[in-house]
Amino acid sequence: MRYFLYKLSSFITTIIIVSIMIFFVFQLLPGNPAQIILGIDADPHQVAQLEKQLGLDRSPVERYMDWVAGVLQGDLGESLRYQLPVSDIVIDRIPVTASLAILSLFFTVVIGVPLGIFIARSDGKWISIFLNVLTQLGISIPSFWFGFILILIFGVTLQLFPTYGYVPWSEDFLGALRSFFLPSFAIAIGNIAIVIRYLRNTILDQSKMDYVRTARVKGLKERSILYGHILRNSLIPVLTIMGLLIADTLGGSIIIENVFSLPGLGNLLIQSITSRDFPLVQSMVLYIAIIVLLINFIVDMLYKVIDPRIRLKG
Amino acid sequence: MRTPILTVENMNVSFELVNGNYKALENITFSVYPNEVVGIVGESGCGKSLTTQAILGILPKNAIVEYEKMEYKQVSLRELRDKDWREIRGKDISMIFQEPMSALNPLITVGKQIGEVLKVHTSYSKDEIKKRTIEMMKKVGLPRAEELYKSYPHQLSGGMQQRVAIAIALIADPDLIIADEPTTALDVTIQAQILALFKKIKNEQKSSMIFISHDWGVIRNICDRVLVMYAGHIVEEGAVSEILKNPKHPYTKSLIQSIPDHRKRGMELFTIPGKVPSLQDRKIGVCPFADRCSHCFDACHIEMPMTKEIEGTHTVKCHLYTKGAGLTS
Amino acid sequence: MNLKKAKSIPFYIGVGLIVFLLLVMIISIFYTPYDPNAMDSANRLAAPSMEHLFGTDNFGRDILSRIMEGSQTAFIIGISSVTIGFIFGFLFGAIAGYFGGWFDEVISRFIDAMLAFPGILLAIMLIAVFNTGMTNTIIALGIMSIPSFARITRSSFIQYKEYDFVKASIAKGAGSFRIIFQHILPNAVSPILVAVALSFSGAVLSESGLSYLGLGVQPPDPSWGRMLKEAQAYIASAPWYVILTGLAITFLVLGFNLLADGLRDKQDRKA
Repeated sequence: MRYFLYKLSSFITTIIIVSIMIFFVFQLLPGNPAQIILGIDADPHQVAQLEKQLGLDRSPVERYMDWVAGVLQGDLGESLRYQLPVSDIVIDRIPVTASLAILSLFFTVVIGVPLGIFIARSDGKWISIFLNVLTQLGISIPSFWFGFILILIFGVTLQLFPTYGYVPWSEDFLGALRSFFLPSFAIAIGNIAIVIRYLRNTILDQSKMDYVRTARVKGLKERSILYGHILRNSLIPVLTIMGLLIADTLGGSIIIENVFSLPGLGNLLIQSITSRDFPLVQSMVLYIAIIVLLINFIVDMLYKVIDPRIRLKG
Repeated sequence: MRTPILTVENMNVSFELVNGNYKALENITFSVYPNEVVGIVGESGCGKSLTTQAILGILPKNAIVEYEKMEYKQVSLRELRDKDWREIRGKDISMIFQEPMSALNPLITVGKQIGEVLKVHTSYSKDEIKKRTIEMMKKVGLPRAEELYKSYPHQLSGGMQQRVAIAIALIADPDLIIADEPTTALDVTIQAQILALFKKIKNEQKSSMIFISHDWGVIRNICDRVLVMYAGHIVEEGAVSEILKNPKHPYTKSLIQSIPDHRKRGMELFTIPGKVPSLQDRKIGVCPFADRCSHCFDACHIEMPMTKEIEGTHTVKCHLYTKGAGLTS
Repeated sequence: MNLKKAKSIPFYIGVGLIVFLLLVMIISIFYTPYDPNAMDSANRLAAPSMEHLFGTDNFGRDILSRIMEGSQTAFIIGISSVTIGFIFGFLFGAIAGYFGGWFDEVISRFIDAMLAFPGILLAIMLIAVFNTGMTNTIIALGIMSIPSFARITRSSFIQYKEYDFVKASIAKGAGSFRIIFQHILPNAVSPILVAVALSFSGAVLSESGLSYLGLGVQPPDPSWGRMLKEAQAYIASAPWYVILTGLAITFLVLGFNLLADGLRDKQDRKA
């Protein structure tokens, strides 16, 4: 319980600091948003009126408080370009990004965990050196370039998957899956490599533990020792990097959505930067940061639930 | 003569390290007979644990184990395939380690960890395994066994954890139990309890035991026969009472001299000068104790002494007793 | 050769890649097969041949020359942003780790906050405000790499402050600067070197992403990321354009990642 309160308070503090950082970074913007909206030749009177409407005539501290109060009530401000509440625009985009993130994490776990086990078992053999370089390659490949390669192989040459756009899940489940397949995999490539390397290391560390010796003395097969004893203990540390992986996935989708023209949050973010729609950018950055912090908080809590050493002590 | 259940002849163990191979055990020869408790005593780093781990084949991959003969119940262990080895481990020979906390898997309930031995070696049903596990837990003195069955190792005290480890070692009714300093990591009062448990096991169980300790008090309490090890060699061997009464090797003598004793209260405790040489610093082919020995003479630095029979089963490896040395102390 | 020695092979592959690309970069300052910006409308999207080893792009420009020139930008971005990240990260980390207390609390909270921005989001936000271009990209990526330097420096300082030899010299009345420079710094060098290599690869990777999105380096400065943005449209008709440009990024990033991994291995073995 004390742990929960501690984590909760640091979670909230970090959100506050993040929001202050974002708000004041956007205060550094040169020029006047009202002027930007109305154009350089606009009537000064009109500009002043819009300024007042946007609340630009008040002090930064006041505006920050307004912004935070709004965010807390689910009001992220109004987009200059769309003339709509930011939250309305963002909500439409969430399913796309969420689908990408979930499918990508699915790939990460389903591919990363078995390969991590495989590579741990190959330790001490020559092939382990080759596999080491191969996983480093997975981390080094730019995900958007890997997306191009996937498009080239599976979209252009084999014509198995669509290369841009998407179908909503409600319309055509299989079609949606096909449209999210390549971009999710492109985002996952780096995380798959990270999970492989991390799991390999934890398995090798755990293999040296005394309880493994006990299991061996019991007469267990090496297979049973690995799957029955070592793996459980090795997967728990992997859970600790889950928050990091999810953050990476969200970060990766910012670029990948633009590669595959998927109308998600990342796509919206880049569009609004290009059209200089700063209230939208500012709120979206905060929004994404809060999602990441929230997921980290949940992973922290989950970790405590899954590990009996901590679960039962608390 | 009874037939031994375990025979080891001239076992050598060396480690392959980055800068070369190092001998850790040399010419280890001994037997364990049915219903007998054999102690192995010596300072840390002498190769006590190594000896037993080499027998069970659980040393790390960089260890090279060679021997002339290693037999368990007249069956050579050399020819055993992995599968047959696994049959022996846990079922015929079991082992208890020094650190109970780390010897148990932190994420598996203790009941499952004990029952796992039966799951591997028998065809009992789940219920039967659970029944036997709880019986065994009661037998090793674990209170509220039904409740404890479902708890995790960290919820138990060190003494209880060691009882769990003992239950794991006993549940398949093995013929040979190896206990590697099972009381060292525990509090003094708990040590006495666990020791009492081992005495009970010795009296009730028909199995033989190898009991590693650096504590003569423990050895005297439990063991019938004792091997004294120094720097990878067995330097003296014999019945516990005989060795305690009539130690021959200077190392054994100093070990016995350094036992704290209430009759020696107020006197400074005897300690052996120096320390056991590390693997890399060992000299090969000479008496390993020569550098720390107060009776050392020329021969000690020239060759390794042969095993000399003192009387009956009492043997010693020391130049003081070899022919021609002509010295007594 | 035994397996233990063979374990350093990836490290040498990494060093090899870096040295090779560094040479390419140096050569490109004095010589490229063609003028990277010379257009040749008769020779658009030509496949790799003896005249154009890597083929030509949609304006008939020689891709090899453009990749060679792009290496300059990659190294400039890498070196400059790592320098910025190192200077500020080290400063903040050292203050937090050495003085502890409130300094540590405030700095650590800011580091946590910066780490809440996934991937290149922090850089994207900064560029949205500062505007695009080489200098702003360097600043944004430099700021983005501050947290990792700060964290490593902080933990090195905290760790070594507890060591007896440091405590002894504090007890002897040695000044803070003396303690930091004589005792703590020499021991913090190897984790910081690892961080330098990782930040370098991270910066190159992020720059390519930003430039691909149109938020990074702008013309006339050459950039691999922006080349990929242009190449995307011709992915079916001129696949070599996409493949070769991406390989350049991948090899440079891989080189620094292998270097970092090898350094970390050596450091672990020493410990």
